[in-house]
Amino acid sequence: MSVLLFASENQELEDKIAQETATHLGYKTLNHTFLDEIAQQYELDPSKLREAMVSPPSILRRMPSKLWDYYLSCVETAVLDRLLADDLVCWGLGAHLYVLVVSHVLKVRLVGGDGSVSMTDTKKERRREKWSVAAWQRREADPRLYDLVINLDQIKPDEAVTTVAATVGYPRFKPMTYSISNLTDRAMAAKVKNVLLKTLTDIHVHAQNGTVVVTTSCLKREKTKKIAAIKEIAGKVEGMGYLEVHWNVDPVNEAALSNR
Amino acid sequence: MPIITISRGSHSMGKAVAEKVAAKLRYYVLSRDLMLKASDKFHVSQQTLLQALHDAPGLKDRYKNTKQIYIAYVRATLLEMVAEDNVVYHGLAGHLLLKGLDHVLKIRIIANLESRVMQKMREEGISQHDARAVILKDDDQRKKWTRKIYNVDPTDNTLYDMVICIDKLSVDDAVEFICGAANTKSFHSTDASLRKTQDLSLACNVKAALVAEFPEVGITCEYGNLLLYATEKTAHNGKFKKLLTSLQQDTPGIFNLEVRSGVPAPLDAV
Repeated sequence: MSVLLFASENQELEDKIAQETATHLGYKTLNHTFLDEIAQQYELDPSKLREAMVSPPSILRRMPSKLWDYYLSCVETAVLDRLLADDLVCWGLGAHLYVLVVSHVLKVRLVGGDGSVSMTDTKKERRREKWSVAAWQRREADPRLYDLVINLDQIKPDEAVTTVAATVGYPRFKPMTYSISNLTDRAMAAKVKNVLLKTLTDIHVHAQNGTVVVTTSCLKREKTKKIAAIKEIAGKVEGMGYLEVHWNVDPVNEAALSNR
Repeated sequence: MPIITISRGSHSMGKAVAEKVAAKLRYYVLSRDLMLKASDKFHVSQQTLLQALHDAPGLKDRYKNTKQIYIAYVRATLLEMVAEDNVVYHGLAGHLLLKGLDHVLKIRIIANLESRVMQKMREEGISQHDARAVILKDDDQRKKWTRKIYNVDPTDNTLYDMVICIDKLSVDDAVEFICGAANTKSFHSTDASLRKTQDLSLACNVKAALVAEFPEVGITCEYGNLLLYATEKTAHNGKFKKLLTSLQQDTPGIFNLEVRSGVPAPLDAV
C-alpha cells in the first residue's frame, strides 16, 4: 500500500487533516512525536533535535553545522526506515524534502486556512525556507516538490481529506518493485551517511540497486586515510552490497597548504 | 456555478485539462476568444493584446503605460464574458484578472521541465535544446510579467486553490479533482458573488474607458455606485469631467458616480 506525506506551515491544520486522513484510510501515522523516539535511539538531546528540525545551524544556539547535519541525518535515516513499512501517513518530519521520485509516495502541501497572512507568518515562512535550503537544498514552498497543493482558504478540511484519500487509492500510488527499490536505496544511502557523519564531514552518499557511492573531498595527503576510514565504517552497515568511494580534492585547503 | 481559471506553463497539458473539465461540467471554454472580443471592442490588434498579457514590461512600457491600458481592456472584456458563470478560462493570468471574486476556482497545472520539453519537441518538431530554451524563456517572461504587473510570484502556491502536478497524476486525475472542487459549496455562486462580479465588471469597464488618459485613477463599485479615486488635478480636469458625464449616460448599470480627490485608492480598487 501507499505512503502519504503532508507538509504545511500551519501545524494545527496539518495535524488535523493528516490525522483525519489516516483514520479515513486506516493507515498508521508518523509525526513529530517520533522525534523523541529518534532522540532515544541515537542518544541525542531531544530539545536540540527539535531545534535542529526548525532552525538552520547557528553557533550562537550552540548548534554548529556538523552537529546539525548529524541530527538531521538521524531523522532522515529513522524516517526512511519507517516509510519502508507502507500504509503510512507522515508529517512534521521534513520527509517531503528527502523522499523524492518514489512513485508510491503521494506528497501533499496544505496552504492557507488561517485567514490573512501576517508579518509573523512571512517571517516564519522565510525562516522555514532558509532551513529547508540549508538542510536539503530545496525550497519547501516550491510546488514542484509536491503532487498536489491544496489551499484551505476556500476548500474545507474535510473536502481536502476526501480528495487526498481518494487520490492515494489510485493504482499509480500502489508500491511496485521499482518504487520499493528506490525507497530502499534512499534508506540505505541515509543509513550510510548517518554512520559516516558521526566521525567525518563532507560526505555525500548515493545508492542505486544496492550499490552505495560515497563522495567526499579532502587534502591529497589525507586521501588514502579518509577512503580507508569510509570503507571501514560504511562496510559495517547492515545490508551493504557494493561500496564505491569517490574522492575530490578540497581546493580551498589544498591552495592554503601550498602557499604555506 | 463557479468560474474556473486554469493557469499553467506552456506545454503543461493545461489546455487538455481545461477542455476535459469543460466537457465534463458542460461549461464554456474561454481562451483566445477573449482576445478576439477585446480586440473588436477596443480596436486593438489581437497580437498587441496577447503581447501585453504575455511579455514582461519593457522600458517603453514604463513611460507609456501601454501594458496597463491593454490589461485594463482585456480585464474588462474577461469580466463581461464570465459574468454569465459556467466558464473555464485557461488563458493567461486568469487568477489575477479575476482577483477579488469568491466563486472563482483557481487551479494551477504544473509538469516537470523534461516532460514539457518532450511535448514541445513532439508538437513542433524542434530539437531538445531549442525546445528547452523556448520553454525556459517563456517561463521567465511569465515570472517577470507577474512580478512587475501584480508584484507577486506566479509560483506562489497561495495564489491558487489547488496546484496539481501532472507528472505522477494524469490529466484525468486533474479533471477529477477540479470537477470535485467545483461542485463543492464553497465555489458555488451566490447572489452576493454574482453582484460582486457585476460591480467589478462595471468598475473595469469604466477603468478601460479612462485608462488611456487617466491611468492613475482607482475605481471601486458597490451595487452600481462607483467611487473614483483621483488626484486633485485630475478631478478638476475638464476632459475628465466630460468623460464621466458621457460614461454615466452611456454605460448601463451605473447607479451613481462620485469622484474622491486627494484620498488614496483602497487596495481592491481597479
